Amino acid sequence: MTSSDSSMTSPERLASLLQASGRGDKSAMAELYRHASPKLFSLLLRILKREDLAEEVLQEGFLSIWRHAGEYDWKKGAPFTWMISIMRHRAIDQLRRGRRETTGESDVSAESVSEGAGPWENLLQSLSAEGLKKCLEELSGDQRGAILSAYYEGLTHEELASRLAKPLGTIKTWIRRGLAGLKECLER
Amino acid sequence: MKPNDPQLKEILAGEYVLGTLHGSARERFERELGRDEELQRLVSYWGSKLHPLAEALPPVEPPSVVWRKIEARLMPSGVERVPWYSRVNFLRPFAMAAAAAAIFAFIYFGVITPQGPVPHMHHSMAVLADKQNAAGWMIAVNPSSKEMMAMAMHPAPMKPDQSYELWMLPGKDKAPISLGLLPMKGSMKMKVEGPMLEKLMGASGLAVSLEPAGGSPTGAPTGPVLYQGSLFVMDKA
Repeated sequence: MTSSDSSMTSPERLASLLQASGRGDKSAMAELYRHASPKLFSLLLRILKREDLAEEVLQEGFLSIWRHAGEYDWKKGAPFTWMISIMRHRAIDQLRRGRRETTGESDVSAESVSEGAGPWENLLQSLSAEGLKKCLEELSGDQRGAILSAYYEGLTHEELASRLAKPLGTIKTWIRRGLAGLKECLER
Repeated sequence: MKPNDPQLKEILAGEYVLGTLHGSARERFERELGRDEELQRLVSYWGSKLHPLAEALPPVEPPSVVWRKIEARLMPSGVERVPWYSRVNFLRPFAMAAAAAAIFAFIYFGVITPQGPVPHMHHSMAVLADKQNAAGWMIAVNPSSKEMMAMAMHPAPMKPDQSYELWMLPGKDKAPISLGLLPMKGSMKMKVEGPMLEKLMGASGLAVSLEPAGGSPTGAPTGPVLYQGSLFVMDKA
């Protein structure tokens, strides 16, 4: 087996690998890692923007997955979704810890201001979840841009405001209306 | 957070998953999340809707050192505080294993003729079985020839980069001692002499762990314990 693309691996297979890992099966864990790590690493790189930090979070995240694999069940979402949420939480914690330690150094706003959703629009084309894609496209460009930047870069309201040079209130409104619009569209 | 505003709950759960909640707002939300099932449902809803965004990213292969570091730290989940060799239950009855032992004794002890056993040292054997009582190996110890023989029965297949390693358990709370790698088929003899032989004859049990190819890198078991058994005396010379 050479595929390392998690989208090629059925959720059932990932769930059974998680279950086996929960029983202490290291080879199941190795397979799970082979399938899931490339996408997770890609996400961590986007959020953390530093390879060493992304590697560290990937490592700690997988050890956390290993320790909690026995508690996984479908009620917590599809297996890959569950793993992503573990990784993203850790990445965002790491990011905010790092920001506090280097206060004054605004590494976020240094990036191209007023780019809006620009960098993420292309990604939408490779989004396989058709419903989500369609509903994101229905949002206004500002709302979509704010949501995608928050998701892919782990930015807070304040960081988005500084990035996009908009008042904090405007950003909060974009995100809230964007999420409300998304939910309304997804349930239509 | 106003706990009874359903629309606010929906949005806050979305923001929590998105990651925009932070600081005290996030702490408050997490406290509520621990006791509010509706909030848990909403978080899982937003997770299922938003996390496909991560799947759209082009895969990036992490450097292989990451997996090696993870692997070195994989311990059986949830047992980190208690050494596994203190918790292993050796008194489990092995009905099937006993029958297999009789066959083994018939085949092997007819061949390995005792040449005047060492006093207090008896021919012993063990069946190493998994949790389903399926025999992986049989172990025979001949104290007069100072040899131990391991014979593969039906060990579960493993990957090429793995090995099964045999351990003797000297007694409660004492660290396991490696006896070497086990064959996947056929049988293998190993020399066991001096204090090792005495320890082996007095061991409280044997166990097999799954290790990286070539055996545990640390000298202590690092992988899951998949088979276990106890030596029992075959003759009373």
